Amino acid sequence: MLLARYRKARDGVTFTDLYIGANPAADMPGYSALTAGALLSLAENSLQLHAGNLEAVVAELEREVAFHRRMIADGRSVITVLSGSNMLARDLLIISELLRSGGERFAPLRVRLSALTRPQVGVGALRPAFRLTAHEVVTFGHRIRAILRDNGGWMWSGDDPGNNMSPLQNWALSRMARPNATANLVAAVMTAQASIADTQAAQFDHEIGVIRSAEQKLLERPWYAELSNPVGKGFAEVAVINFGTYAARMHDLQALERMVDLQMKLAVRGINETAAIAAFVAGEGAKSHPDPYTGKAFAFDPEKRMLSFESRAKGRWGDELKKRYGRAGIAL
Amino acid sequence: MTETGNSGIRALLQKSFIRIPLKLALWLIVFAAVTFVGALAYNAFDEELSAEAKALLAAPPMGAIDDQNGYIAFLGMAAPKERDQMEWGRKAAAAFTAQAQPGFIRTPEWKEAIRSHVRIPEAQQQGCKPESAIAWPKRRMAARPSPRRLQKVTTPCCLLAIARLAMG
Repeated sequence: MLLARYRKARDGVTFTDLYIGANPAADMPGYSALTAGALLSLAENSLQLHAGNLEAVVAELEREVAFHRRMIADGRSVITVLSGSNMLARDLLIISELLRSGGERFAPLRVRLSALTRPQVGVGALRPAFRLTAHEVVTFGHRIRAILRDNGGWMWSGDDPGNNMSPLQNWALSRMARPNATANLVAAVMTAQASIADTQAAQFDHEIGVIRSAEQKLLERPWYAELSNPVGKGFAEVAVINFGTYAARMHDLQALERMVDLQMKLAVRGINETAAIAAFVAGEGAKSHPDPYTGKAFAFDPEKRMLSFESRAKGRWGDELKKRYGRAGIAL
Repeated sequence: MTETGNSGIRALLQKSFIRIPLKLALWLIVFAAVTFVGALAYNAFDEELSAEAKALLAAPPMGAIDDQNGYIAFLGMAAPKERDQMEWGRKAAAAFTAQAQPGFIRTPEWKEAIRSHVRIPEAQQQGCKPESAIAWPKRRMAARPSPRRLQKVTTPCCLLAIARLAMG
């Protein structure tokens, strides 16, 4: 039943998430049903593969890829776009595995499969999501005085306790915040951050440094200005979101997409010898499918028969967030 | 207090090792109070909104709540078995977007519409109780397991329960 319902959501004409509102305590729909549905689809597809129904396998993959690309294109929140990109990355890895282990069985279906790996992903897909996130944080900053004064007011109505401060503390803090100045500061920082969505992977490392120093300059708090809007500035420091992490994930997806498409090209041309693969990757592959970060050919390890690139994405939690994943690759 | 007591205190205050710190403390209190009042007065004035801020304060248009939008079907995925998915999705969409309205209150009916969206009964029995975005980090901070471990424990458990639900 969950799979049938997932397919109904998947096969819609669009997948545009609703605007929930700039309320930090708002409940958001959980996406676990969607990822669980995608896993059920994958489980059923693997049964089809083992039963030898290759046509059905490719048809299901086509619908999955179309849906995940639609999530990236139509999604207006970071969670929708990045959920779509994560699921698309898994689809691409499955196609890569089918190419590697499926051998000639998939030869008649390669034209259809190659349509799925054609590079389309771009970091620009994150622009609407960045716009929405920036709108939410700026709105929160603009309402900061009212929020503190009313202990959250309607934003935390219901079971949530608000900010747990005494009315006197709330009053004093609310008078130390300037709504317009806070909104201006947050808007300036978030606009600088959002420019990463206009940066191609080759300029990513440089641009992320430029944005970081611009952000530090905006958030600088010299001692003589400490009493001007201290609460608003404190809010800006904690509320600003690092868009670079999300952009890096999209660039990584773009690199993966190119690698799988390169693998498809190798399969279509029947290039299977390790030396021939190395020559193709370094020659024609470097022109048609370069590593988006370096602009040069993807690294190829002849011993492991592995194509790889240096990932810029970082971990998801705690200390992992500070570390990059390292190399990401696919086996040929 | 007696006359003798008052003169005793006066005599004590006239001693320099008490008088100087007391004066310092008094000046500090006066300085802090003046600074606080000054900051209150200064922050009572605000600047004009910048063009960037004005542009970002404009709310993006609401997504279409129509059956062509797969998002509505997604919101209806957790409808009870006997209920129509799309009808449930429209109801959940209306409940979610209602949160954007000032004066919004979480009524029991609203909670039902929202919570049944994320609540999968069988998953709950397996210990995968969904919680609000506010409550979950609080509980996590209190229990202090490592996030990676938490993810490892809950994900297979939820997937198993969802798979069973789907097959049932």
